[in-house]
Amino acid sequence: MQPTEESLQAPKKLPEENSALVLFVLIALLLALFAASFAWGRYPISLGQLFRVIEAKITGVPSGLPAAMESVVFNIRMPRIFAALLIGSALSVAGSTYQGLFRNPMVSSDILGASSGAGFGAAAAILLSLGLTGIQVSSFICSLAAVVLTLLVGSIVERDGRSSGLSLVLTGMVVSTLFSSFIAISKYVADPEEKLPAITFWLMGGLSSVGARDLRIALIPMAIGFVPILLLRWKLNVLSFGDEEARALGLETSRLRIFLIVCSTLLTAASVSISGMIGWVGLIVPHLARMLVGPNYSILLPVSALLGGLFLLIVDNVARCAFAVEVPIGILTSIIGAPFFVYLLVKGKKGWT
Amino acid sequence: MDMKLSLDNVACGYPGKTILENLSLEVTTGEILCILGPNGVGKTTLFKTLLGFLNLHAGRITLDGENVQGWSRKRLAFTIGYVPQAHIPPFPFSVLDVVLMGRTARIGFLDSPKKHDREIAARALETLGIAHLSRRVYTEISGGEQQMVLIARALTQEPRFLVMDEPTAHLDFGNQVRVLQKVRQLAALGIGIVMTSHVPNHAFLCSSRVILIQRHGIFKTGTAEEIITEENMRETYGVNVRLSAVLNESGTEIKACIPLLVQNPLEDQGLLAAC
Repeated sequence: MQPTEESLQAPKKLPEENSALVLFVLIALLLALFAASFAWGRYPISLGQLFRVIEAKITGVPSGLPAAMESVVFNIRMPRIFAALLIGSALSVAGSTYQGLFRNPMVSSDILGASSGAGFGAAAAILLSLGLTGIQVSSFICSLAAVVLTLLVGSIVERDGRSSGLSLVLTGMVVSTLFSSFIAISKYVADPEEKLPAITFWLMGGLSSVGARDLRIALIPMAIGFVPILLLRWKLNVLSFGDEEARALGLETSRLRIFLIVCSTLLTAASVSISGMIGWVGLIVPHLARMLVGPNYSILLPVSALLGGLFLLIVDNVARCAFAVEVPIGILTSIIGAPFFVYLLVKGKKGWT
Repeated sequence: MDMKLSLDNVACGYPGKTILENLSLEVTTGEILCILGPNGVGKTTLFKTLLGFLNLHAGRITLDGENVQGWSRKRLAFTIGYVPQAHIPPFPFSVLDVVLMGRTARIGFLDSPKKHDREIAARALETLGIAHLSRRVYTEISGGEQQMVLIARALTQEPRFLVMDEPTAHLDFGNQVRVLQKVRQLAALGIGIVMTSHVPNHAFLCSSRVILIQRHGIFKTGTAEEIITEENMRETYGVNVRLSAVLNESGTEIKACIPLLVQNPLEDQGLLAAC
């Protein structure tokens, strides 16, 4: 090919060439915010006091600080901070994966119906008093059912081969609505004294009630979902070029696709089952990550995970510290997410960058 | 060593609908086979079958006599590379990343491309004369450049055969010629090429063998000279053509197929009679 004048111009710097810097800054920010999040809050703790509490815990020598302080640090703030990090990462990694699998930058767990599916699964489990593990299993099954339903209906809608991407989004919304009505039914039949408040509170989405035990239980499915996606991240690049090309390049696409859908749905369901529905994270964060380091999943996935944790930790700090009353975190992410989606729609006409 | 890709009495089509039957042909590495025919006769069906995207209805496809049915995608990718028509992927990958995707079958299941793979990708970009594009964004380069990038990607698979879907579609005249030039160069390097085309002249230019698919599953195979005749073109496309020949600078004869338009355009539509 003859180099044209344009193609010979020094190419502008590719986003992925900033990866090392981006990773360094993200990790530094994450560490700083991680420490600061222990200190911020209604019960003020200075960084000095924080270190003394931690030192006392490690060495076993009493710190001389009030016992309440230790309890705030280890029993209240620590599980919550870890929950924000884990759930933010899990939802973002699931979102990035779905976007590559469906070659559609506008999908995420919430848009494909995975979140409302998980929500219904959890509501039903609460209704049946199934306990924590029951909630997890039930939300995973319903979440997977919702995604499969979206894909099935989506493929029927796009049967003639015209794939606009928008039909998958619309189908996902239909399925989400369907599962939302199932949630409404569970609330309607729930015992108003006990079960109904539990379901309602849980659905609002929040990290305030996440305890260390919830985290330990959710960590296993999250790891089972996350590790294979991370290991297969190069294959996600190839899958985003479509089935035929990926097959010609040597991938057994259908098996790989199903496996990756199960992994991302597991991540979503594990998150939803401990924190309720926190929307939009899985849509926003992958885009921010792509702006920072480009679309190559080799670097996009780790950056999505870090950025997702950072994002949700920031939002959760705002949710618990910025106002006189704590704001449910799901409401905050929606307020950020809705305009962001509009921005994507406008920008999408000019190509996804 | 030469390798032979053969189709033996193949019937192909979509589930429940056979489109082509009793098709036999052979391509050896270093050869170019051009699939010609009007829209909708099964060109796409044929090459999708060749790539294993569609199941055979009958017959078999062999590589050096070994039936490829049941080969894994990975093993098939070692031998056959696919060059699709240039299209826009959903994400703005860099040209180097797109080319590196050709290494997928050659690296471990959980691996990402390493330095060695980058060197192979860089060499493929050089072979196609587009090394200067390596750090550009794939979605921002021209259609001709994208087609070259996709050929480079297939080359990094290190295949023995390339299957190309209308490699010159949507390209301007200059880029069509440049792509054909590369196709010939790749054949000279010992790669067997199967490509679909809408332009009979491309078969002459690549001095290739031709399979001409006509309506109702009829097809003819042979050299470009044997198949691209005035009669066959009329039968297949319903237009009149005249064959001509020019000499290139080294004195070799190059044939060309020139469509004949009706001399009085009004006559064509019966307008003259209406006046």
